[in-house]
Amino acid sequence: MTSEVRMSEGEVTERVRPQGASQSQSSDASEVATPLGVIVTEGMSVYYGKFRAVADVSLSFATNEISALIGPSGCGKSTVLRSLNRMNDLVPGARVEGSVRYHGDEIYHEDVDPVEVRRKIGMVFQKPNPFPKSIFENISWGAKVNGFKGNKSEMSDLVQEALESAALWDEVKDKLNESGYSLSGGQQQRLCIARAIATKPDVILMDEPASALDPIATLRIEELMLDLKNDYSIIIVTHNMQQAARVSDRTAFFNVKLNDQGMRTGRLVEYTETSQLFTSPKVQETEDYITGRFG
Amino acid sequence: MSTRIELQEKDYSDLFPVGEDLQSQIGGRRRREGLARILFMVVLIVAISALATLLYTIINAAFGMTAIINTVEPDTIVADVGHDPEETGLADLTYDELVVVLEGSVTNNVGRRLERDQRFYEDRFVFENEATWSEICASSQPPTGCDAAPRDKSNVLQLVNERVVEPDVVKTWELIPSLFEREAIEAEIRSEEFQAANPGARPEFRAWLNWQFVTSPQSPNPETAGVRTAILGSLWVIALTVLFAFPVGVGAAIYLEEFARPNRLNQMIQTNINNLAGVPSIIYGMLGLAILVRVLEPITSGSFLGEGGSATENGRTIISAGLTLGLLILPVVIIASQEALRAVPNSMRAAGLALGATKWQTIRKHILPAAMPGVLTGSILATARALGETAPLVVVGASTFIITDPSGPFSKFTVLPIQIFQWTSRPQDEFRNIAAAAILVLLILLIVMNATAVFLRNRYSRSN
Amino acid sequence: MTARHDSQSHFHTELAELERRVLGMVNQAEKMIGMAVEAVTTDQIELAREVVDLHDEIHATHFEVHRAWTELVVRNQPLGSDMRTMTVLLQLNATFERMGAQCANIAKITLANHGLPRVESIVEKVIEMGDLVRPMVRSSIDSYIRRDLDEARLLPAMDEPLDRLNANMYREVVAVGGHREMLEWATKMMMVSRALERIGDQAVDFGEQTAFLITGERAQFDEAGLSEAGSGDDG
Repeated sequence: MTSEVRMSEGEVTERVRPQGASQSQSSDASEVATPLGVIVTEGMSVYYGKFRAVADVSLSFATNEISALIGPSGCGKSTVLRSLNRMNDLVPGARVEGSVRYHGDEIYHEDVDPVEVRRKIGMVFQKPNPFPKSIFENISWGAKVNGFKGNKSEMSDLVQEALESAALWDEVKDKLNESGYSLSGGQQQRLCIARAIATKPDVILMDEPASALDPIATLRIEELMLDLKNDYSIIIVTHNMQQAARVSDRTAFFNVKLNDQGMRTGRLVEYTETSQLFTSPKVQETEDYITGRFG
Repeated sequence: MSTRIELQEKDYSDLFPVGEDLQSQIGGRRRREGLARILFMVVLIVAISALATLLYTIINAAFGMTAIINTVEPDTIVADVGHDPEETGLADLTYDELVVVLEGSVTNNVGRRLERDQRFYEDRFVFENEATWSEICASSQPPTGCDAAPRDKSNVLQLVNERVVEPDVVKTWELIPSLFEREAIEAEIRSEEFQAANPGARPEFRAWLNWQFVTSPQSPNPETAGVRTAILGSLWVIALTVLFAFPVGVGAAIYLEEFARPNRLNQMIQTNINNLAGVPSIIYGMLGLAILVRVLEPITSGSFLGEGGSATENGRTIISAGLTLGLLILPVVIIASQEALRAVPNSMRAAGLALGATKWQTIRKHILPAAMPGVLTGSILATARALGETAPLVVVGASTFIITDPSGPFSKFTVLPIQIFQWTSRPQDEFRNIAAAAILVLLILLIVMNATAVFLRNRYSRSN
Repeated sequence: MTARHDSQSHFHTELAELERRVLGMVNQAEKMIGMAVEAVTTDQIELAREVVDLHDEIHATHFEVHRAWTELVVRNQPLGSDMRTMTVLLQLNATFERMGAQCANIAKITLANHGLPRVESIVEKVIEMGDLVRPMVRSSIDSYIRRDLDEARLLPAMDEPLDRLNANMYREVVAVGGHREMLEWATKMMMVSRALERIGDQAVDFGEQTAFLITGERAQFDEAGLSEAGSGDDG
């Protein structure tokens, strides 16, 4: 009654089906979560001249959460991010269709001043860009241009608070008058975060905030994000999936597709809870991307 | 089992040199590098030599031995007035004493002419009388002395030098011979032959560039002529040039770089500015003549302010010159400032705007200060060029002979380059010497300007 | 210079290799079940000793797979279905080691029971259990390899008769009565029955793992073979 080993090595490999996305049934892939998000986009498309960079994005970003946008290059994630605080206005020929609402108010309405939008929705960039001024001035200037009405000691308090929130105070409290450039890369990025916080925004957008930093500085930024989300809503673009997995509550996966005119337009593929997206994504495209099985 | 396919591509390694071939190939490349370095060094040496030769020629002409004859020796004059020539020099005499000397030496005609050009005293006349004076001052073409301030001591000293001492240089030698063959030269001057042709000639080592030269006004006499009027004229003109070109130029650059949208109109403006930078400077001179001197004459002559006098009624004033040169360097300032603004990374603009600042707030506080070193460099280079411009100012109407210092933007003027030009076109030898001295003055002025530029630039970079 | 054209990344190749090794263990375990049941029911000591030796091999492989698994995770931080596969493989690694241990237990009982009087009805029951459990293990392997959710969901049903046989074994042992040596033999055979029932449970576990891999959702296979609350239909 001995059984023979029925499988040979070759057979095992060939019979294994290609790994697939989970097949369970639930609501459709690009679900829009709570309609009460701090920023909600509906059918948003962004054009640069005739070129449609990203098409038909409908997303709702929740308050006091970290939302991550991931995807291959050219998928439009940075374009989407920049459209959320009208930074795309700076690009000649850039145009946004569809609706982008901040607390229910359409930010692309013709009566809305982008300057006001940006005060409430701040931004931190990939390469740290502090001003060539003192650390103190870097932070106080943002407050000043937005009409800070306090006196000098109140300003000092604001600066200190911002630096403390950015986990930088202890390192710079004795050298507030030194140039922002005298800091290391990681410190400069935290300075930029402090600078953004000083204007008391509601939402902080971060465009690959740690991609120019070494691993330890990156870790500190990620820890900082997790602390900050108690007071702010954070939306980050990252090309590092593990980073998105570590810090974000919800993740949106964008992908780029070649259309019939040969143009590459990005679109939203899946948007769901982070642990869900990275363990059992519903869309095969997402599965292919996160497991590295593409192209 | 694995689905990998291993392809063996063609092996190119035997197409590269190895061993001895490699050595000689590297050697060849090193040699070519060495040649290039030598070539560049040679070029540098040639350039430096050219500059050195220029400086040598100028310095050679600005210092040297002279054979000089004083019509009346200063010592004699001092003695005549009653002082001891051993202790007192001509310059130590009082104003009144000098006037007396002058009175006694020049003819009445010459004296009246001098007084009409510029009075000696506020309250009394030396050569003229009250009646004639009021008459000529009330006429349609009153002389400059009616309005101008009275002379000062250096002025009168100059006159005494010119008209009483009347030094006359009869022969000049260059610096190098003067240093190495001094005895021979002195011997030559003292020789009978020489003394026969030039009685009373003395050898004297003369630095044509001396404090006297810098502080004395113009004079038809090369021995007593100075560049004071020219220096002051240059400084006044340049001041107005900078006052006009810098704010206008930087402002235009800010507009073009930061605010203007890239449409056809702005492209055209940009092209035109670029082209204007290459227009010959004399065209600007003609522009200045036509518009500033003629059409805008009431403004440039200052008559609408009640300023200026008869002599400036044609608009050939410092302000015309300043604005002409300002227009000349304006395109260069704009282009240099644009380059400097363009060099500021966009990340700074993004940072400012992302904080909710307006464009102007960001520019004023961050972009412009960051661009300042480049802006200053470009502007000062342009200004240094303006300092040396001759042709356009000749057209606009620098005075050919002017002895009064400019008193304001509505004065007549002359500038250093023009003065140099005039002197070099005179036949006498001595004019070459003082032209060389004036060139040295111009060079020193340029060096000072550039040093100021570097200083300002460093201060701006550091404070950032 | 050589150019390599991979249809798979290095990680996926290594993952496939790891899977192959784990499944190799499975085949080994399946073989061992057959050998162990035969040994205990036909009282073959040599065969029993072979089973014990095989178990040692499985032990070593188990450690090696564990090491390889750790390395793969640390170096690649897998996501998505790769992550689920890794999770499942880790569980399977333990499961088959356990299966092998059960077979070794059966083999040791064979040695201990050698020479003792047998009860044919008990022997028949054990053979019957062996015939039930081997297809279960086979089925669990196949459903994994083919990613067949339906086949996986059949496993609880296949486990039912096995559980029943195991539950009834107690009665058989009690029925032996007072014969001391026979009782000793019978009691030991009850442990064999328990071991086979455990192997069956582990096959059902394997099926749950497979279902998780396919659906991304964790569900317990209950006796009725249903997996999740809700629709239960595929897409």
